[in-house]
Amino acid sequence: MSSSLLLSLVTFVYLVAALAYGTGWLFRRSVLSRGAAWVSWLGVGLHGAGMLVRWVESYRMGFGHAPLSNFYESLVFGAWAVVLIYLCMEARYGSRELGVFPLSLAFLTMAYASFSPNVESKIQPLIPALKSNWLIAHVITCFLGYAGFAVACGLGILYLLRGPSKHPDNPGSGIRARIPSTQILDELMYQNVVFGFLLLTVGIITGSVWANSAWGSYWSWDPKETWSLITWLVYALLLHARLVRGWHGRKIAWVSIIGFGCVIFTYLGVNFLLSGLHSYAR
Amino acid sequence: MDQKSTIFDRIYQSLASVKLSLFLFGALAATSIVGTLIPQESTVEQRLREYGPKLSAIIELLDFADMYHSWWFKVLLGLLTVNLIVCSFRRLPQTLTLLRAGNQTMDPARLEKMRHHARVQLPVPLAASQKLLAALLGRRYSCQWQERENGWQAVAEKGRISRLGVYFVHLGVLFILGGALVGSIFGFRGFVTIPEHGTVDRIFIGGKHRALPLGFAIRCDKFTVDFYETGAPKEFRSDVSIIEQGDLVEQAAILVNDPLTFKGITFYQATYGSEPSDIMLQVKDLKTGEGRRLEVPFRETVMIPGTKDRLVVMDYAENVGNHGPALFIAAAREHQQPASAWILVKQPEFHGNRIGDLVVTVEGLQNSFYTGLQVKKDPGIWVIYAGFSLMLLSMLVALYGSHRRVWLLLDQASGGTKISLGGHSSKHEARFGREFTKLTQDIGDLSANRETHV
Repeated sequence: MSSSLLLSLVTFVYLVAALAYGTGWLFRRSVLSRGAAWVSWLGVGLHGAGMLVRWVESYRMGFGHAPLSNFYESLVFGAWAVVLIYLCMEARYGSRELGVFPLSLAFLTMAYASFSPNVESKIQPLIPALKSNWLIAHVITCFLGYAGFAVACGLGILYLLRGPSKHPDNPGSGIRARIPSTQILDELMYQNVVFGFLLLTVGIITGSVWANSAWGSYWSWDPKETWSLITWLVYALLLHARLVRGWHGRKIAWVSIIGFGCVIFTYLGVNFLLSGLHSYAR
Repeated sequence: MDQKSTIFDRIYQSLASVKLSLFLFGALAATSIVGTLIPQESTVEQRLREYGPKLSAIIELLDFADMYHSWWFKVLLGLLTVNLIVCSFRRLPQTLTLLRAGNQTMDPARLEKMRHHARVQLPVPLAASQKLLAALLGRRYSCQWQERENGWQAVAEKGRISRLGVYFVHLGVLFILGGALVGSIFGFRGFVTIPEHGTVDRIFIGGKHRALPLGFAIRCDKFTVDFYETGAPKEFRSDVSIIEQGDLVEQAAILVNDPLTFKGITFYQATYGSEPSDIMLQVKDLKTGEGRRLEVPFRETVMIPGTKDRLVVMDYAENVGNHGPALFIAAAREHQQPASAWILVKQPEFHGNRIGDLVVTVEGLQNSFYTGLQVKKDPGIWVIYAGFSLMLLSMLVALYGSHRRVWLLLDQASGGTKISLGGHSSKHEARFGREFTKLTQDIGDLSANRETHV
């Protein structure tokens, strides 16, 4: 089975999982949510297999490299990371209420990667600058970090939707009542930011070491580098504010949303709006 | 005197405050955006064209076109450094106090007030209970036991280092900033181009303005560029030799992502290009009818033998006016104004192949590659890498580790030993709750008969 077929299949598996999570959540049918979790694990498995097959295919084409080298491949890996991180969180905290959000994000990302005419999905050979073992470590850590921040941002939005801070424990009826308690959201948000921050730090450091061996400069204030630093500073602010100044809840939710805005700009905005050394990531 | 000390106190307080850290994180993030929107290191003319006189004036004033090296950005970075140092030093004693706080005596009332607490009764005499507990706790925690009247007390703890993790993260950041400073003072960044078979012993720093002798010579033996079938570049490779005092000391290949370091100076494959070489010209003076052959190195002025006329090949173009490759040659003849012309390489009969009275024919011409190498010396890089490692490892400890403590009181009771325990964790309460419950159960399991309140 070819990787593109596998990955298209995964797109629809995620759609099914997102729908099942959504209906299970809105109509409080835990059977559906449980089914959605199984389907999601299946999706993650197929997704991982799809990336491995793509890796093998690149070797068959004579210029083997890890499937982490262009925009399409980064979208595919990013979607995988989001679902994987969500499922780990679900397994750890045993709550299946939020699955509709990460699975929808993964579905949309995969659909965009597969069907948008702006995304080149062909396997391309590596240009000299990308031929390095640092490629794998750099891309994997960065995108795992981004995925952690994506989940944290989703939790932050839910936190704000759940209602004004005056009545954090009395969400009333309707959809708000379906959102987990603010304490849980706050804790999960923090956990995901911590994970994302660690991985982003590793990502920036591996990128820096790599740049030093490729261009002789570990830091050049290139727009991509600078925006990753901006993102890092925003989350550093969040962690210090929470751990030392005791910020919680809404404030943290807002910073987490702003932080993810920076992540999106680092990932997409820099490539499409600014110019710089990372131009091959288009 | 008092007045003065309060002012210094206030400055110290604000330099040590986490509020300042939060402000600096925000300020550095916000200002950094500006530098990604305005192209860095553009020229004044480019900026005037792009932004007009008013905006350009603001850009000049605040150094936005070289923002990350501007004085005010350096001030922000400096403030962050000072804040980080002062803040860490101010908080360290509190942390050390917290670490020592476990040694104080505990009473049952305080244990009861802890978030995690329990009571267990063991039908075993006091001395035997203490031994059993010491063995059990010793496997999981580091413990301190103390005898008291009719009983024992103990503190069992784990993960003390996690409270110090943050200080090592900050130390790592200082290493990185310090390494950057060392590199900017004792290092250099330069550039050099070497034609194939050419040798250089100096490089250029700061855009060709300053030449820096290397202390050895580097020769480009061969430059190759490979392409994929798609036309995308596959590999740039310079095979070079290092020559020191006339002796060949090292031969190596420089590739992108695979630089060469010699005596602390590192060469990186950066660019390449091609330029004409082995240029053989036939120069005929129309007035005298004399013709001469001469070899002219590219962009070097030579004398035409037997005359006082000078000649230089200034440029090369692949295709001039659809007539194929051409050399741009300038001539300065005795008692005449200098003149220049494009000389067609492939069409020696072309009537325009002349500079004044000199008819020039290109008899030989090769094209050879030159390689462009980025040259760098950075003694600070190891400090930076040390900072990276320190920061990462201690971040793991600081964010995922927690300082967990369990206090125990053992009292002699009728028919056995009464054990009260209370626990506290600096972080991850839920995880510690499970650990504490497990511990309480295991203590109860030390004997069959148990009574637990969690």
